[in-house]
Amino acid sequence: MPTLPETETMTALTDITAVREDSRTLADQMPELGDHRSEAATRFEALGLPTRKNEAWRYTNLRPLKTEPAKDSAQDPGLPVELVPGSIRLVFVDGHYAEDRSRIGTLPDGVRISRLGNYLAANPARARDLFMGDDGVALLNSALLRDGAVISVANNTSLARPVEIVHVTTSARRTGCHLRHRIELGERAEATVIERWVGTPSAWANTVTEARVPEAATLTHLRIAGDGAAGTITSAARVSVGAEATYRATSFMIGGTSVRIDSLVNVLGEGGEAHVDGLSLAGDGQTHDAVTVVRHQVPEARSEQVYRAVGDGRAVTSFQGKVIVDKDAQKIEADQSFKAIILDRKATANAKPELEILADDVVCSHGATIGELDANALFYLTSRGISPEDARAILIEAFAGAVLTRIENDDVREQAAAAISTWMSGHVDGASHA
Amino acid sequence: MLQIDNLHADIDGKDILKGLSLKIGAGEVHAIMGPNGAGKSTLAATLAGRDTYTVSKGSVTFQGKDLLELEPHERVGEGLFLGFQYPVEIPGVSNLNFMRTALNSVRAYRGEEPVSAGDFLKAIRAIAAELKMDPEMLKRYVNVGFSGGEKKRNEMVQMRILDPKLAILDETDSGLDIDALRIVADGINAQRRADTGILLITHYQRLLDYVKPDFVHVMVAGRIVKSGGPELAHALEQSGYADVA
Repeated sequence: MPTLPETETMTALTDITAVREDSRTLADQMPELGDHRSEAATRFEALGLPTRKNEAWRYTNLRPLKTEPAKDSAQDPGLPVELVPGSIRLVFVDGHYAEDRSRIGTLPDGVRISRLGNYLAANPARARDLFMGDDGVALLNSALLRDGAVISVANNTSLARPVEIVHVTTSARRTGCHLRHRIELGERAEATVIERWVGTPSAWANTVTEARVPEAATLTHLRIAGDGAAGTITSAARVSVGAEATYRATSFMIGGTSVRIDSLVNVLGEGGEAHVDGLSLAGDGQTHDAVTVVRHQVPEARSEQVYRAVGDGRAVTSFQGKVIVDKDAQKIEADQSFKAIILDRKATANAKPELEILADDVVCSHGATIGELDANALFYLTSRGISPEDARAILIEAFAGAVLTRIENDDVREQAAAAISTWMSGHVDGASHA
Repeated sequence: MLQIDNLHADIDGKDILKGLSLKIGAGEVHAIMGPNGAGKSTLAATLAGRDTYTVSKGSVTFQGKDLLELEPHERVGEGLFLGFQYPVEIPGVSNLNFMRTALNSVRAYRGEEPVSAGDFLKAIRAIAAELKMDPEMLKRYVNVGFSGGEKKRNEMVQMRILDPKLAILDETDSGLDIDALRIVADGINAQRRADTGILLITHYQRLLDYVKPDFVHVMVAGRIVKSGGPELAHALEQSGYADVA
C-alpha cells in the first residue's frame, strides 16, 4: 500500500481543486477507474454536496463537514467485538485495507474475496459497471474511492461464515474515506455481509455497496453504526433482487454524530423478496437518517420495511421510505411501517413515507407514527411494582423488538439486544424527560 | 390496614372525589358499588398512584405509611395491588417476563433475593392452573389478543403471584361470562385470608354472589353515602341507586 500524500488524506471535502488533485493522485492505484473518477469529479463540481434543499437529503446534516473545524485528537478506536464468532473480517483503516487486522482464512470452493483494486486489475471491464452516482455524496465516492471489498459467491454456493467489513477512522482531521464494496452472488447462493463503523468524531466514512442477488439467492446485509461509531457516516446500498431471491437487510444506527443509511432496492424478478429494516437509537446531538427506495419492476413480488427510532435529548431521527410499484408490476405486496418514540420533547423525529403505485392490483400498506412512550403502559408496569426506569427500558426494548425479532441469526439478534440495553441504561432515567 | 380520610381528588381541575372516607381492616372484604361517574375508578387509580389525578385534600394511610407520598411501584412494594378495569396491552413484552420482572422488583423493594427462573415458572404455572389459564398464554405478549375475560383472568394471575396485602379490584367482573366470573371469583377467594384485605369496585351485585363481602358501601358523586353489610347490595339490586342517593 503506497503512502498517500498529505493532501489526499486531508481531502478538503468541498474544495473541488482538492477533489481533482486527490482523484489524480488516486488514479495510480486503480488505473482502470481513470475515466470513472474524472467524470465523477466533473459532475461533483457541478452539484457539490447535497444540502437540505435537496429533497432526498433534507434531514441529513452534512454542514459540519464543511463548516466546523475538527476538534478531536487522533486515536485508533480498535476493533469492535465480532458479531458472529468465526466471521471473515475485512478491516479498512482510514480507507486502507489493513491486512494485519483482517482475517479471511480458508474459503469454500466458489467463494472469492478480494480488494477492489485487485478485482479491477483482473477484470478491467467491470470498472464500467460501477455506479457513478446521482448525488454529490455518491459522486465524491466515485471520484475518490480508495478501495473496497469484492465478495463473489458462485452459483449454488453457501458461505456459512458471515463477512464483516469494518470501517475504522483514526484521524483527528476532517478526512473523508470513500470505499466501494461489491457483493456478487450467483444463483441460489447465500451469504451474510455485515458492515460496521468505528472511529473518530471528525472523520467522514462514505461507502457505497453494490449488491447483486440473482435468482433464488439470499443475501443478509447488516449495517451497524454502533456505540463505537462517531463522526459522519454515509452508507448507500444499491441492490438488485432477482426471481425467488431474498434480500434481508437491517441497519442499526446507535453511534455517530450524523449517520445516514440509504437503501435502494430494485426487485427485478418474480417471487423476489426484500426486507429492509432498521433501528435508530439517537442520543443528544445525534442525527440519524434512514432513506429507502424499494422499487418493484415485476409482478408477484414482496417487500417489507420495518423501521423503529428512539430519540433522546436534542436528537434528530428521520425516515424517508419510498415504495415504487411499476405499471406492470401487478400482485405486489409491499408493507412499510415506521414508528418513532421521543423520550425528550427537545428531540425530533421525521417521517416521510411515500407510495408511488402505478399498478392497480397490489396490496400496499404504510404506517408512520411518532409519539412518546405510552403513559397507560408505563402506569400499568409501575402498578405491578416495576420502577419507572425499568418500565421505560422494558417498553423501549419491546418497541425495538419489532426490528430485532426479524433478525434470523441468533448471535446477531442477541448482540443487538445487548447494544440496546446498553444504550437504554444511559437514556431511561427520565431526567431529561420534559 | 387502609384508612382513607376525607379524600379529595380532581382531574384537570374537575373534582371527582369529594371527601371520601373508608377504613379497611385485615381479613375484610369490602365492596364499593355505585352508578357510573360516581368516581369509583378514580378512587382505585388514586390509591394506585396514577399521576393524572391530583389529590387536593385528605389522607390515605396504608399499613401505617402515608400512601400518597409513595410512587406507584413503591405502593406495590408495600403490598398494594390494583386490578385494572381495562388491562393494558403491551406488544413486545411477554407475559412471563413481565410477571417475573414485577415479582423480582417487588422482592428487591423488600430487600429479598430475586426468584430464580425455575422457581418462578413453577409458581406461575401453578397459579395459571388454579385460574384455568392456558399456560401458553403466559408466553404471549401482555394482554395482546386476549379476550376481555382472558385479560381479567390475567389480572388475577398477576395478583396471585404478587400476593398483595390489599387488592383493589376495579370492575374485575365486567365483561365476564358466567364461567369466567366463577374462575375470577375463585381467584379472589383464594387471596382472601386473615392477613389480607380486598376492595371490590363493582357496578353489579353479580360478583358478590361469588365473593361474599363483609361490608358494602354505596358511592355517589365522589363520596360514600351509605355503608352496610351484604344485605345492602341486595337492596341496591332491587331498588337501584336512586333511592340511596
